[in-house]
Amino acid sequence: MRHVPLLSFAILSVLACDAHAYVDPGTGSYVLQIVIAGLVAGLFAIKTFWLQIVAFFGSHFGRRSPTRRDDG
Amino acid sequence: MARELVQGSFRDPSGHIFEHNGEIYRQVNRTYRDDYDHLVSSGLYDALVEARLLVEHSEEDVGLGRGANVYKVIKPKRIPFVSYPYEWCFGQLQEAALLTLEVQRRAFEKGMVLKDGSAYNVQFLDGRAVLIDTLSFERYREGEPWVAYRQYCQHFLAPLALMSRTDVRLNQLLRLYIDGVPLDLASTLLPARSKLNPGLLAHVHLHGRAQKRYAGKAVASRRRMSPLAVRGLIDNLAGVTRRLRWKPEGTPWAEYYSETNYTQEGMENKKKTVMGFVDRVQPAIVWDLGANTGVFSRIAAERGAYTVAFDMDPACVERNFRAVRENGEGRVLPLLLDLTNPSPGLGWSNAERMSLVERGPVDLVMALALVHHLAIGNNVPLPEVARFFSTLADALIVEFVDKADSQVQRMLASREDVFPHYTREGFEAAFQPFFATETREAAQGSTRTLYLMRKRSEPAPV
Repeated sequence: MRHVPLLSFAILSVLACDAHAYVDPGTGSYVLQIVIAGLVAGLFAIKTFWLQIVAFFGSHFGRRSPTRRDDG
Repeated sequence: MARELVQGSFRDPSGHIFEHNGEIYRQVNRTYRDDYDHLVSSGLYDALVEARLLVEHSEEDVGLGRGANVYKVIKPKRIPFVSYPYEWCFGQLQEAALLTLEVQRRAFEKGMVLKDGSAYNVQFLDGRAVLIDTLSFERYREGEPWVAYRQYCQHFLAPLALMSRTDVRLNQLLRLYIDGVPLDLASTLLPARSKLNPGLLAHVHLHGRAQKRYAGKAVASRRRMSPLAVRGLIDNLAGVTRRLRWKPEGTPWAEYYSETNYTQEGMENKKKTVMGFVDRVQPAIVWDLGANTGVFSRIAAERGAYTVAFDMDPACVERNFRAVRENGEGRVLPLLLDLTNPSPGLGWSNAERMSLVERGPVDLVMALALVHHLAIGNNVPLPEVARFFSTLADALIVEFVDKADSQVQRMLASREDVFPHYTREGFEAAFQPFFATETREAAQGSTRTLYLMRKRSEPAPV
């Protein structure tokens, strides 16, 4: 656990970005966000893909299709 | 033609809020034209309004605007009572947080982002959280991170985590820090085991460290953030926020009605008396002070009044808010307020956030089973209680609980009785200069008395 911050900052130190906002987004917040978003993007892609699969099978083989649910 | 700038909207160069002849307007500046037009033409505005996520507005005469920079003047639907995050219970702050993320998610689908994640951009309207800052949107520039990430974490995630994991009363930090709870402070106050939660570790603990490390440093950039990463971040924040919980129990007032002095019949009679009083006043706006879970607030609300139900106990406000959401009650707004130290004017010039008194006066204040807590529990002299109430409302429903009552006996059990004037006669004499008593009814089965009073236009001589 102690090494997690060190690891993160090792990654953070090579990153950076510009800001175009009237509210100061904060350099640290920008840098950290890019690292975290990079990590969660993969998970999000898998989750989205999975939900599409579930929706596909749900609509083709499920007992109740989304349209029927709307009716009911 | 009175035109007055409303404080609290001066930071955003996209426009500002002003008051004109008692109505609230928002000026949209030319510099914001392309973003405003995109908000409307993309269908995002209509979709958000239809989903009740964004406040509805109408476009008004542009001549009401000021300066060469005016592009449009819009009139948003009026918010009956402006409340602030430090007055919200856990559930209200969580709802406001999730609303912000949902708006950002939908905006992103239409090629826009929220450019700020301020909790002050959310208000409660018809019982639900709604975004009130129509100028919060800007067109998404591919590759850019979410500009409001820092604000979202400080205004929503950190206080919610503190309320959930450390102590629910830490929402009061929002009263100290107008731009949200500093993340290094939140990190210090959260228990060490909160670092085992990956979301809190990343968005609060590491975020706080990153802010410290990069404070004051400008870093040139080539690094981009993909649209998928932005969507992933928002989805992740929503999950972390949604999983935070707080259970409303164990506070001194949460069990109040199960140990009240009223019998079932006495309680029904008290309700009938209050109903009769409210019917006489026919108020549009009511403040119920010391509302507990809102039993009497609902009497006023059912008679058409927009009723703000204040209580100092976070568990009572939480229960009241959950009831509002479950029953779809649009006219009850539960809020957290310690009447012995009500919300002050805060922010720049002490004017960005209004004090409680500035948000009044209202048609009717209800103070049921409250005065003994102020007078005996907090040593406020009765004439001072009366004077304060007279600054809040034109009419008053107030209950006097005398010393024979077991609740007052309990309060006096552990202290010296230094309240010789705390009698029914003393109470009436204290209120008489500020209010005229219209009617008075003894509560059946107890020594309590209910009064309906009207404020005097001029204080009467004592």
